[in-house]
Amino acid sequence: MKTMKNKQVSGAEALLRALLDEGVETVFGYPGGTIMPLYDELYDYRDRLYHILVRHEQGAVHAAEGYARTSGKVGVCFATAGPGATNLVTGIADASMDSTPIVCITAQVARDNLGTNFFQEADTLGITNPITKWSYEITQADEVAEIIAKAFYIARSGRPGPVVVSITRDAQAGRTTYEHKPFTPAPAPAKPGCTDARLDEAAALMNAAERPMIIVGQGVTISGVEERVRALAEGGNIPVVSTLLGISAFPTDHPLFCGNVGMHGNYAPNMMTQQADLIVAVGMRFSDRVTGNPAAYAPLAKIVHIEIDRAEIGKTVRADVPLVGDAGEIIGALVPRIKHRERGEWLRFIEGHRRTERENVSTRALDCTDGGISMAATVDAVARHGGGDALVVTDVGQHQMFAALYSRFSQPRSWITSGGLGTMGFGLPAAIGAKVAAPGRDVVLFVGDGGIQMSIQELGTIMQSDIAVKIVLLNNGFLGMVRQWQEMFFDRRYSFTQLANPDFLQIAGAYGIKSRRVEKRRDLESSIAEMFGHVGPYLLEVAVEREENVFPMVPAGASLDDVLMKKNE
Amino acid sequence: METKEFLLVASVNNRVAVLNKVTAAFLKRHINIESLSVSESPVDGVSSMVISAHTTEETMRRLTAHLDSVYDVVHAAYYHSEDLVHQELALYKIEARSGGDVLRSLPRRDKGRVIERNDDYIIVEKSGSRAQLESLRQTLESRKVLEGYSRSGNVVIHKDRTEDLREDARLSLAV
Repeated sequence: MKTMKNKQVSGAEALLRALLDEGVETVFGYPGGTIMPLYDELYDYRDRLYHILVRHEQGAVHAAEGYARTSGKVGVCFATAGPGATNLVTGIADASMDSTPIVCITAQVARDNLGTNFFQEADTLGITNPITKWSYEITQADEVAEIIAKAFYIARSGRPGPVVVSITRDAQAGRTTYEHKPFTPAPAPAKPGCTDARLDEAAALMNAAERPMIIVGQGVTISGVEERVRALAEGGNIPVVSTLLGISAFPTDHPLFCGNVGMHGNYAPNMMTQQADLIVAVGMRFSDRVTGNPAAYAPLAKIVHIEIDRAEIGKTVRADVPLVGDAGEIIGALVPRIKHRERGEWLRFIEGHRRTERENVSTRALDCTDGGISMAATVDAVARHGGGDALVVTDVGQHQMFAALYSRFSQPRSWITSGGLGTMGFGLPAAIGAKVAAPGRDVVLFVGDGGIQMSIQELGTIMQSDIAVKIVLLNNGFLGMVRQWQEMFFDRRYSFTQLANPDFLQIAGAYGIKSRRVEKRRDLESSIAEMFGHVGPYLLEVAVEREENVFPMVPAGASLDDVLMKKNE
Repeated sequence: METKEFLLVASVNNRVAVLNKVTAAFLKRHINIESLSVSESPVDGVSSMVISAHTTEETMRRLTAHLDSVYDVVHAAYYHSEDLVHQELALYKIEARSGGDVLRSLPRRDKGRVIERNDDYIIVEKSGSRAQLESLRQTLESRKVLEGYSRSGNVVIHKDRTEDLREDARLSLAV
């Protein structure tokens, strides 16, 4: 390629070159007036930068999230000034909560117009500052190279997160000489890391524990240390459970894997938490959805907390042995210190509770003897067809929890969901991003009839860019999770949770997406097989039981001991 | 939970939006900032920020840990007020006609320094703890001679250099 050194280019072109130098291949975006100089340059870069035109900026940012979490790379989206930028806010907050590395490029009015309430002027930095890892407004073309390199470094380093780079219109049009400038951070004050003494202490606890467990969080996936965690678990014969975001970091069919912890986690992992004498938490933050009442959390356990973000240590629950740093390095140092132990009694305790869930929850949830279809049965059927290899994306609600409970995974980076922020509307665009990042994999989206209507316009993106997402629409005519809570905790007062829905097949058809509706259990398997067999996008609408509830469930603020297996317990 | 006054001392990169990032951390936890001062530090490109606020120690610990992980915050630590020598500066605008008599009647330690005087007013500068500065304000108000009052945020210096790293030291013991 011809060198660009000393050649004058526009700020917009410098920005595109900087993206290429950061390894960006795909951008999700939506043009508008103020970002036109950038889109004009993009016209000449179509062969090098794959731009996917979304239908709403929120779709762009969620797609960038799905892309980032599938690929492990930084996701990128473009939006114009004002409403374009403000439409990104939900996705930026989502990425912040779930530590997703994205760089959002937004346009801004010209520098001389800043602060004048100019057309489509919004205080993008002020609005997004509390929910970004870092942000910057470029006002001169000469800043582009340094700032873009810095933005990518910050987005992907340490605990990843969202970065916003706003660029004024005059900076896009201004001239500069572009030269790639890899970002080198300034030396930071030394902070206490993970000492050998602490590693020895953690290993001694693991070797001495009678009832240990490992909790894998998303940090395991971010650090790409799934194999090391597996070596740690197998080395010590230690059972493993997952947080909602840690799902797929450990194979679900592994003999040591026991399920998911938390509010809608499995029964055994929550009971394990309350009986364990040692918890080794890897790359997770003990969110309220994981701990329930933190004062009653894991009363018998010592806690070894492996976490890169020092701020998470001791934030909600105590850390008896905090190990601050990269999970890969820490676990790599722990593995040789761990001794194999027989844990027959502990493993029998776990198996007993797994059997209890199967007998009291799963069998009932999967039972469709009346001919109807449950959400659990749908997820289970998709999991059987997918064979653990499908990449599962969800929206937010009951279907999300059923998908977490009944999906199976054999490889990492196979589960993408909105955890911390719980963003309805996330699923469809995130699935688009996931499929773009992993075109060779089956990407299945589980979404409810409420959630899909929050971003249904992205079917247009699927149509235009021919993105072969398999959409499993679980339609119960309700905002199901809210309805379940209304049923259980608000005396069945179904306040504004029933939905009058459109004909989803007609909508899919209007976008040229093949679709089918299934209402009977006997048709479920064949329809799923048809969906997987179809080349291209597919929408399978499953008419599920209207008032199905998702269990197990720990009521908000309750102890994990108080898990419910059915309603009215 | 017992609340008390804490001083948060942060070294931050001197750039747009850092102050917003820091104050957002207080806003998120509904903590009112009692005083705030930002000044150059001895290190090029790094500013020193001192914020006083009333809250619980646990909240302050979490807030400080949060700020310490913010990209443009080089270092953050919190202190009890007794851990630091901290001073504020106040300017008092005093009515000239009877204000002079009032000033002369004050004990020496309360007087401050006259930095401007004319037929209309006297400007007095005084440094000290917030309590000392407020005490003088109340005295001048009660004597009905105070026309204007302005107080800075804290400037601080550590009594013991090792205290500078107290929060890190605490963590290093734990890590």
